[in-house]
Amino acid sequence: MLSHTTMGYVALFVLWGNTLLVALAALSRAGKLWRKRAQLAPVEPRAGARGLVRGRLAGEGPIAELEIEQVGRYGAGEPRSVLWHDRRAESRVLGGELELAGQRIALDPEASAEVWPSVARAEELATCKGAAEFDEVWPMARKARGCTRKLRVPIEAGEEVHVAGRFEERGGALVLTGAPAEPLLVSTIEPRGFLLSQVSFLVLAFVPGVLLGAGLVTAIALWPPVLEGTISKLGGLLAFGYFLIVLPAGTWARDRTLLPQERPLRGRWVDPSPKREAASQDASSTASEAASKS
Amino acid sequence: MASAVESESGRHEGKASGEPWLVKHPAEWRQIGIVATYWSILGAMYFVPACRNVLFFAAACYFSFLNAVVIHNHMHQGVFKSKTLNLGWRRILSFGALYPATVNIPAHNLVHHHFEDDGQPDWAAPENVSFKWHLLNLIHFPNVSGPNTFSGMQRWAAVGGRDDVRKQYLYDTGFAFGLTGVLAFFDLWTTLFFIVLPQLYGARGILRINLIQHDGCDVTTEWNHSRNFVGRAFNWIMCNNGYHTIHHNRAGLHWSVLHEWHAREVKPRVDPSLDEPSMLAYLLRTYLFSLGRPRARDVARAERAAQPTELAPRDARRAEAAQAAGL
Repeated sequence: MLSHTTMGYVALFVLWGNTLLVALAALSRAGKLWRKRAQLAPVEPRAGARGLVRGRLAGEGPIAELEIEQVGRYGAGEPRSVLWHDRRAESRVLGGELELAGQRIALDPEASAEVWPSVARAEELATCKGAAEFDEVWPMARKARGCTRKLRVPIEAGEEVHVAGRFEERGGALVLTGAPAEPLLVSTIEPRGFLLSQVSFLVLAFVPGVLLGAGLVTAIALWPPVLEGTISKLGGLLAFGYFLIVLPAGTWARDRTLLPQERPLRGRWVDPSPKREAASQDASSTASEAASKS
Repeated sequence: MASAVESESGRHEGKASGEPWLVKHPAEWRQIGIVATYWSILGAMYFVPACRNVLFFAAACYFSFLNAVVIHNHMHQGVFKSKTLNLGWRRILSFGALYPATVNIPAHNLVHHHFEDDGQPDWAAPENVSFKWHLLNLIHFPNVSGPNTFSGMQRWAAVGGRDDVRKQYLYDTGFAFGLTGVLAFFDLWTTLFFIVLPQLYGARGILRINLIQHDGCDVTTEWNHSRNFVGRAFNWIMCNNGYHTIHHNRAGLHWSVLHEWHAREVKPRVDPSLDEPSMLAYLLRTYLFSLGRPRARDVARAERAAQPTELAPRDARRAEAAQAAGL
């Protein structure tokens, strides 16, 4: 016979086991981000050095870009809308130079790259520019294949950036390059601060938070008289609810701490002139009523 | 190819011996029997205190997992001839797993079968977990793939033209949580311990299968993307869900004929290491007696050496799956 007391401990074991795994996964993610931050230690530009420098991009036009391929499909319900789904993202360094401390260092266009543009810039580029653009996309978004677009979020010459990579001497000049394991990073965001904030969130807020939450519902569930009293029963329900919440909280924390080039842009376009659509529908229904009367 | 598969499937369905009553295929009674047994066990534990023992509880967990297997099969091919019965059966299955069976349409039929979500990773890809100790990956996997599935479902259902799926999803959820809620209203602890725990065990178990069947495989290939478990007794109770490669490639086949198609098409093309005789032995060897995750290796050699076969491209198969789901 399995008593309610025994099963209560089994249920708490399940709750705590999975909460600890969520916390452990978050700590593991924090460790990965921390190791990445360690790769980005500031360095002096010299051949053989590897690390982070700050300077201004020189050259013309875009020096690096993050290309995001999206597919747009029409949204359910009214008003008319297009929902964008990210398919893939690719970082590229297009060439150009970095000016720092009076010298110019070439950026290797062949290097494996990570490009971190500002989120605001990406969102600005992704927004609908008006009714004409919406009307152009809408018919394709209605089809099963959807409407595919490629957004290029550039980092332009003249912008102040943080660049991390390996300094190599080529033909008597310094070049910044990268490899798949340690790509050449070009970022408008201060990367060490960004990574520190993500690690801090995971270690100082998220992990203590989920453990505290589990502790709280456990304490309520074990409030005497255990299993008999209303508070204890409420605790049992809360513990079940908490189990259903803590798991998506884990994936939310993972998504919140994605690197800028990994983070999905998505987006939703709403018809900028829905009245026009309603008017055209009214017109067509009036026309069909007239046709049926005649 | 679809018509060839259908005719082949029909040949094995034993239609010559007469139309079965109520169900599309006589083998479906096995699935109905599994679910009836599961409900009986849950009912016994809820109403009869003497049944709340280790044996009944373990059986409930096991049959909950089988209930999720039946969800999988049913969402590929409805068990009944009647559409109304099929929808009702969805609700019954949803209660058994405490998740809406309809979620399988986008999560499994459309995304997982093609190993990608329109360019993004499969919601249940093995790469979702990355602990060094592989046993933790097995335990933790549903904690990631479950939420991925439900957030993916929200995004998928927000697109137009999917109203019916969205509606069925809500009905499934309402019935599953509604009935569980009613049971909890009358007896909270018995419901939480003897109904909800088995429900969650099955739901999480079927998610784990994604890791078990694809970890270490090469999803870019056509015949070595999955691990098969080919034991006869195992496949009898699992309704042939051990034959996973052929199920992925020819999702339109009825589950009762998968072993024949596996022998014909998969066996010559699959790496022998992906044809496991026993799931239990595999689980013990991989997750319990080994600390690290097995290294990825080239499993597609047999496929490259074998005769090519007629298989529609993945895009076409995905379009067929969408059509079958009424999208």
